[in-house]
Order: sequence, then structure tokens, then C-alpha cells
Amino acid sequence: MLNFFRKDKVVLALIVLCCIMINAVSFYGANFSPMLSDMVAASCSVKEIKDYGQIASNENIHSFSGPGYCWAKNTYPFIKVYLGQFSLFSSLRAENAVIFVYIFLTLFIPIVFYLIGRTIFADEKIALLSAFFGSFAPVLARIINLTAQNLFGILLILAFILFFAKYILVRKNIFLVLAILIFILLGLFHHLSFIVLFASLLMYFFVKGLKRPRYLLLFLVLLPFMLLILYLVGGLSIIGYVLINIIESGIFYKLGYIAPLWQFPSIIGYVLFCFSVLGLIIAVINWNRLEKQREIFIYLFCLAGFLMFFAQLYYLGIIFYNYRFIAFLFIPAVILGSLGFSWLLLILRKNFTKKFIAGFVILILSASFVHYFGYRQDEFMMRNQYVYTKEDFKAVIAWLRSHENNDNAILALLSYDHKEPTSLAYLTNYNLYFLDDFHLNNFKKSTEELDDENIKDIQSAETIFGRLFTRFDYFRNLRDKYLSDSLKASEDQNKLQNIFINPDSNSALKSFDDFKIDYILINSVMDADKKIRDSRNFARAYINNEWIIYKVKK
Amino acid sequence: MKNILGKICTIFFSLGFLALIMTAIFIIYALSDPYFYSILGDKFNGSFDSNGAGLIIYFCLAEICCFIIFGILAIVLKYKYNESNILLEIKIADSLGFSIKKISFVLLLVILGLFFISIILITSWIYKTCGSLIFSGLTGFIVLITISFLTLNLLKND
Repeated sequence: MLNFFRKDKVVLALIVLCCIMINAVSFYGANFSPMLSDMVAASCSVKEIKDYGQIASNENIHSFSGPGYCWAKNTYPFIKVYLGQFSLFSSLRAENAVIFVYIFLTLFIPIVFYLIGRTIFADEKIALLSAFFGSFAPVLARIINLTAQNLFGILLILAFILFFAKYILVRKNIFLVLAILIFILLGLFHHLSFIVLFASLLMYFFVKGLKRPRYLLLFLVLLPFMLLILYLVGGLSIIGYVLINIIESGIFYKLGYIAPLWQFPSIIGYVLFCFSVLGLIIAVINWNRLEKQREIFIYLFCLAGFLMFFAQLYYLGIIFYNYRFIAFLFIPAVILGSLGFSWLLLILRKNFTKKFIAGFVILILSASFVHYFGYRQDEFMMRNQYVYTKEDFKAVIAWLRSHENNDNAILALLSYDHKEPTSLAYLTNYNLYFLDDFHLNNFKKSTEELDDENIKDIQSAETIFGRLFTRFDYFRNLRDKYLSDSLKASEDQNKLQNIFINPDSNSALKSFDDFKIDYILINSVMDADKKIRDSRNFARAYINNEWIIYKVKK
Repeated sequence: MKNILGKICTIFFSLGFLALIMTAIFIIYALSDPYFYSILGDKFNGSFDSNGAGLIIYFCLAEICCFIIFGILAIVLKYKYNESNILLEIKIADSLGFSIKKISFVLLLVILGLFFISIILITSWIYKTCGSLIFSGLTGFIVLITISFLTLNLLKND
């Protein structure tokens, strides 16, 4: 019996089971409803595919509260189709289908990490450690909670590394073909992951080219080829958007997308971080002994180097989603960490008894697990509990459904701890406008101090590079070209926010007509309720313990 | 049998020392990381015993306790019996009337205790999240056997 559980495949199966159970319990607690904005957005998009049989433009959902609660038409088209098809075939509701697929995807993370570990090191113990550390890195807890669509990207990057490693070690062309196919597939599925892989590959060929000029030639040949692929998958427009945002970056700083160097260990996991540093040292010391694996390590270093470089750009006043990039750092960390841990075990086995090593391993693995769970719980408490629908809001949904017409629009005010109205995106057919009280309060302050022109430029003026946009017409036009949609959205946001500040003004009345707003949905604890309550333009239509719906008098 | 106590003490000294280093690193990061400040406070309703920082601090504290207890024991024994290589000498344990089996058993309990505390903490978190005793118990059990059998697998001879 004991021998059965000592088989590496059985242990791998246990890790996979563990991974699925842990990810399932979070959703079980929320009755398998979406708990965060991206999951709401995915559910909304899947609902539209089910309703209209195609990727819809989602023009009826307008979010001015940071995240979009329904993905735009060109955002993740393949993920939408994949989730939509699953929802259609399985007859599951949109939100349930999305959650089921995401839980299902987590099954593959330990398996692919295991295969990578076994391919690179030809050692089952390192492969098992890769599966363990890869499945329970704290950053994964954040990804699954916050941006679960990244799972597609992570899995495809892992598959690429697997086939790339196979090709380097075995030199069979089939693996190269598979790696290229995965590369293209990644571009279709997840643009952020594609840019990470694209940039790390360019860096790899460039580094190789420094020593062997033919690689530099290959780099020059591949560059236009890759740019062509990038163009075909719609990545170039994204890169343009990325570049503009890199330069004009104040807004992302405000949203907290920063991850300085000293935060890395808490994101990757303290235990994994320590062992990945050890693994890095071991790999460097034994560099001459590594043969074909050296190529794979060079690629992993390029990947890690690119990610860490991007993460530190904020020291130059440039901030762009660097936290999103750092999330991928756990991939090289897991491979190096498994190497470091297995090397340490090898040293311990020469000097200590098995009992000592067993105690050491149990404590280290437990510590790793405890940190993962602690981080996961923080993520859950910090973000998840505010989004899924509670009893009071279910009553609101029922009331709204009974008053639904085709042209109805709702203006809902969200707050940090009350985001339940986002579920209207996949549970009703209303036109929706989401504002949040954080931006509303900032708007109140800024309108007292600044005129309109200054409000527009206040964010870009905060960084050295951002000042370019406020000083020179050429850069101002360039920004407007790439960010015209967001500037239009910003104007709309100001108009809607004005409703809460001056509900009886002529501009507010005009906004009701422009946006065809019929109802305003507010949580009863919000300050914004006071002015709306006293206004002659609104009548209270529905109220319960938590929520108030005002009908606009027309 | 003669060197068992010494080796066991060495194990705990080593683990305790490792825990001290880990704790030092952890505290440095915790002090410089605003994220920890926020979760140590009540910003996200995270009480000290129910978040990542709290759990890992408890874990380190438990390991440090082992280090201190066995350190004090070793120092007392050293000064009382003037032994130069106290950790490796079983006769001191004999002279104190300790039974080696009992000490080994206690030490085994300490390691297993730490392990089970981790599992209980994990299970209780899952229970808080999903509200199902069966689901959380089952997941906790799977975590327990996964760590156990992964350890066994890592220790098996090639």
C-alpha cells in the first residue's frame, strides 16, 4: 500500500486533486457565482454569445469604475468563443460555465509543470517538486481570484516551454512545430502572455546572437516574421496602446499596479523564492556541466530578466501593469526552485538521517502551503466577498427583472465593498452604467479646485514622460489617437458623475436624456444618496435593507 | 542509540536556526512591505490570526520555540555537567533520568504537531471560505496526505 503512494504518478495525482479541491472551495462558498470583475466580464460576454450566437459588441455595458464588467468586442475573442461554446454545449448558465472551465484549467498546471521538470532534469523528484511549487505559488491564488483568464496564457506559455525544451534536448522538428503552433495560439488567446513570450524570445535570440552571429541573423529574420504574426493576431494595436500607456502612466500608479523588487518574495512565495535563488546559484556554479539544458536556462533567465526589468521601470517614473508582468515570474522561479530544493536534499542525504530530512521536508512544504493559503485567504477577504450577490441584492434583481424593458438603462454606483450591481451585466438585459464612489469623490474634489482642461491632463502630468503630452501638440495628438476611446469615456464619466453632484441642474437633466437613464441604483450607506433623495427629479421606487432604486421623473 | 539524543537536538537546533533566519527575512520584508501593514491592520478585516502574515508568523514562532527550548536545555546541561560536546553525549540524558524513547516520542510529536497545526489552520480557512465541514475536512485531508506522500517520495532511494 505504502509503495503504491510512493509512485510519482500517484503523488502527482494527489497534487492535481489538491489543486482542484482548493480552487473549487472558493467558488463553492459563493454558490459558483462570479466573485471578481474579470469573471463578471467573462460571464457577461458568454451570456451575449449565448443570446446572440456571436461575439457581441457589449455596447450596453459601460463601466467607469476601473474594471470593465463586460469585455469589449476585441478583448480575448478566442477565450470568449471557448467559454461560450462550452456554455452552449453543457447547457450551463454563463457564469457557471466560466467558473467550471477555470477550475478545470487548474488541473493542467501541476501536470505541465511536472512534464517540464521531467523533461529538463530527467528526474522525477524535481518534476514532482515543480508540480507542487507550480500549483501552490501564491501568485496563482491572485490570478485565479483576480484575472482568471490569465490561466489560458500561463498554460500556453508552459506548453511552449515544454515543447521548446523537448526540441532543444531531443532535436526533433515536431516539437519545434508544436512550439510555434502554441506561440500563435497564445497570440489568439491571451495578448499579455503573448507579449511576455514574444519579448522573452526576442531577448533570447539577441543574447544568443551576442556569442554566435548566426543567431543574430536568425533574430533579424524572425523579427519581421514575429511582427507579422503579431499584426495578424491584432497585437500591434495593443502594443501601440501599451507604449502610450508606458509613457503616460499616472493612472496605473494610482490603481496600485506596482510591484517593487522587495515585493517579489511575497508574490512568488517565501519558500519558493529562497529555493529559486539557491537554484539560480546552483545553475550558475554548475554552468559548465550543463550541456543542452544550458539553452533552456538561458531562455528562462531571459524570461525572468525581461519580467524583472519591466517591473522596475517605475523607478524611472514609468508604470505600466508591471504587477501583471511579475505574475509570470513564478514560472522560471518554480523550475529553479525545484532544482535548488532537490540539490539541498541531496546534500542533506549525505550528512543526515532520513528522519531529519523527513522533518525538514515536512516543515518546508507545510510552510510553503501555509503561506499559499494565507495569501489566498487575504486575496479572498480583500476582493471576493464584495462582488457576489447576497440576499438583499437578489431581491433587487427580481424587482428589476419585473420592470425590464428594452430601452431601460440603470446608473449604478459601486463602492469598494459593494460591487454586487456588476452581476446585472450577466443576469439582466438592461443598459448599464457603472460609476464608483472613489472616482466620484475624487471628481468632487477636483471640480472644486480645477477647471475642465486641467482635469483632463492632471493624470498624465504626474510623470516626467507624461508631461510631454501636456506640452507638445504632436504628442497630445498621438495620445488622443490611441486613447480616443478612453478620453470619450472620461467625458461620459464626468457627465454621469455630475448627476450625483448637481442632480437638479440642467446638465444633469440633459444627461438623463442622452444616456436614457431610467433608474439609479445606490447602496443605502453611500453619501451620494443624500442629494439624490432631496432632488425633485427622482422618486424612490424600491428599497430594502441595503439597496435603494430611484426612478427618474421624466 | 548512544547518539540519538544528540542528533535529535542537532536537528532542532538546525531547524530552529533556519526558522530564525526565515523569520528575520520575513520580518525585514514585512517591515518594508505596505501590503503587510495593511493586512496586519483592519483595512481588509484581516485579524492577526486569520491572514497570511499571521499564519506564517505563528509558524515561525513555533519553530523558534523549539529552538529556544532545546537551546536552553542544552545550555543548562552543558553548564551543569561541564560537557564540551553536550549534543552528542547520550550519558547526560541518562544521568537526568530521561528515557531516550520518550524524548524521541516527544520530539516526533512536536514535528507532527507543527504539521497538524498547519493542516488545521488550512482546513479552518477553507471552512471559513466555503462553510461546508465535509468539503473543508476532505480538502484538509487531501492536503495532509499530499504533503506526506510527497515527502515519502522525495526520500525514497533512487
